[in-house]
Amino acid sequence: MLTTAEKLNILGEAAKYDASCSSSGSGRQGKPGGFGNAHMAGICHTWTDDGRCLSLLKVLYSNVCIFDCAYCVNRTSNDVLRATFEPDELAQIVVEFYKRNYIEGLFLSSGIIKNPDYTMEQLTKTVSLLRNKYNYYGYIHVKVVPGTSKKLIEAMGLLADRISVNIELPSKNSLALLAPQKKPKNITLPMQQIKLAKLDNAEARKKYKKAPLFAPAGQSTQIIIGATPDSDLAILRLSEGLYNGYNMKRVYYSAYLPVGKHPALPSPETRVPLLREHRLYQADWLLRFYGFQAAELLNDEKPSLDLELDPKCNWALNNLDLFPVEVNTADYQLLLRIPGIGVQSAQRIIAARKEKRLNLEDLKKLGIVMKRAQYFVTAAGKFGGRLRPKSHNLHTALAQPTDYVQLSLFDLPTANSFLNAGNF
Amino acid sequence: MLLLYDNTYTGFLSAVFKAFGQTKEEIAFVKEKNFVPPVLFEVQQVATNEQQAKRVANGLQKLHPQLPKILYKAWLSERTGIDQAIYQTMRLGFKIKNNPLSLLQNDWVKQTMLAQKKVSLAVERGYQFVRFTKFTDSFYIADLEPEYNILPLIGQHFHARFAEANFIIRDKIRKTAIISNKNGWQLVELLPEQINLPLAGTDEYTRMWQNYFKVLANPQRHNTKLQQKFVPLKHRKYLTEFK
Ligand code: SF4
Repeated sequence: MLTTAEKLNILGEAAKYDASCSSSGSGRQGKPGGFGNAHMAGICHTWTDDGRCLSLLKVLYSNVCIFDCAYCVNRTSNDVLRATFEPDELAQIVVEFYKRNYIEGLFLSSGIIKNPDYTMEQLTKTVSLLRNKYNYYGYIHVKVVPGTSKKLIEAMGLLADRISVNIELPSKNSLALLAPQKKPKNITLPMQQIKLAKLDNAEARKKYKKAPLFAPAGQSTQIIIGATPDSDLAILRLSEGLYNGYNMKRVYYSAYLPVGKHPALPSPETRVPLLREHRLYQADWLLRFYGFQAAELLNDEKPSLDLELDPKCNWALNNLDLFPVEVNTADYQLLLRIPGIGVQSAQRIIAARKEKRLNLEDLKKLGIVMKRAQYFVTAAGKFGGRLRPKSHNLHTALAQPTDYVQLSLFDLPTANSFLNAGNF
Repeated sequence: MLLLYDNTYTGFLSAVFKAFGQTKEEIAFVKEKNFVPPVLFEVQQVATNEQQAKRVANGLQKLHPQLPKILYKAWLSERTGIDQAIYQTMRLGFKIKNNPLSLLQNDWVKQTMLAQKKVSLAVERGYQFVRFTKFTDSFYIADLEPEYNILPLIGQHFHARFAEANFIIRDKIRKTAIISNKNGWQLVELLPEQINLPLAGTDEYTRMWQNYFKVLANPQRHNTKLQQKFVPLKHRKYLTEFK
């Protein structure tokens, strides 16, 4: 028999290959008599030695799995130590950790024990204990096992803050090759059901204010990068479709860490494509907050993101005829498209230029990253760059050894950025 | 003229109220605890006045709902010259009848925003790095050595979250503490014996957390520098997972 501590080691280890940093993001209020609430911005409580934000207790309920997905440590054919929690055992860990302020909540997924519904029933028991026995109102994100039935999804939606179904591989072909037991339909169907249940819930809440919230933080999904030959264009198109078609809150990208030998997988010596993962997050950011479309960033002739240059600079270099932009007159949408100007800086410009006509010096004071922006703006008619926008030299001037970090809380539009004049 | 106030924010706002009444003279502010009698300036002791302080705060609130809180944060930074910067920022706001904080071209505003940003970061670190130790099922205690006086700013967050528990968060540097139970929370000054009371020891869940943290390490992505950027060494003293 394994002790609780041993199980946590095994099942924490098994969950860590999920590389996404998913901090919480819902504003659940605590209730009298209970404890915990979900902080709007999500809080990282510590950082692991690879610099990842640790916000949620990320753990598997069980690493037993009847499937044999080639890219996964938990696949049936892999020889690893297996463990399964009892619902109450896991619930207690969550409660104890939360009360000491170690964690912001729980991120729970599982291998498939027996069958999808059996597995989801165990997860539901765990979460239900947390909510009803321990009166825990902190954040809970549950990954739905592909193929789960509608009834269980609906039940989970009423208990958890966020539910997600992972796509894992970006195309049907890749799925068929590496995870033949996973049927695309078993992934998209639950997604559709979550979307519909959420819409129904919104309707119900219009009628009865007291109707319980269904997954208030929405649904998210994850795509593994670099395990298959799928291009960045294909991935971004997929994400775009997910945002538009399934009201997805977030798509996570996870650089593939080699965990096994398989003729169709990169060899274990392959470098983990971290920079590519980072570029995809940047491009995804442009889709969600900057009004870009996938087709503006990439096309069939050029289906991969430039590793040397961030996607926004890249887009600007391909659309030089739009530049330089006069910051005193450009509208918000256009300001957003200038390299070196983000959502906050664009809002600052709009606010500041009501007071006076801005010059280059003002831009610096407003915190605009002039290193990049200089080539693309004029302020009061003055151009600030050393080089005129001529694509050839600019590419070298803008490319720099990237000092990138795993996307974390600080990249999200959190309370911080609202305070730092974002909303002012 | 030098306005001398009683070290409290209400005192500072009372001084500001007084300053708004003066038209010609140059004004400076000083806390009693930092006071050195000057040679050239006239000094006036300001009587702390709830009513007046409230009037200033209400005026600010009308400019922008968040303004009082942000200026309070900036004030808590206790940086040199911050009183003057806040005062000038307020004047600017009342002059333009609008939220002054977006006018970052103005040096006073910039100083104020910088100070509030530093304090905000310290507050964020408070939310992140408080680690409770468990005395009994319903009594928890945590220690901090924060760069700024953040307890007044983080009390509400922890009270809302752990309302049912009785807990104490101590600021070991300033010898103050948040005391919270289900009826509310307050900030108190600690007696020497209360400061020296040791934290609760480790138990099975402490060890589970430490192991879990170790297990999450990812040798293929090892990056100590990045980790230190987020969790600077000086903040690790009370972090269970770094013990
Ligand atoms: S179903 Fe999930 S846990 Fe099981 S092998 Fe596939 S990816 Fe791994």
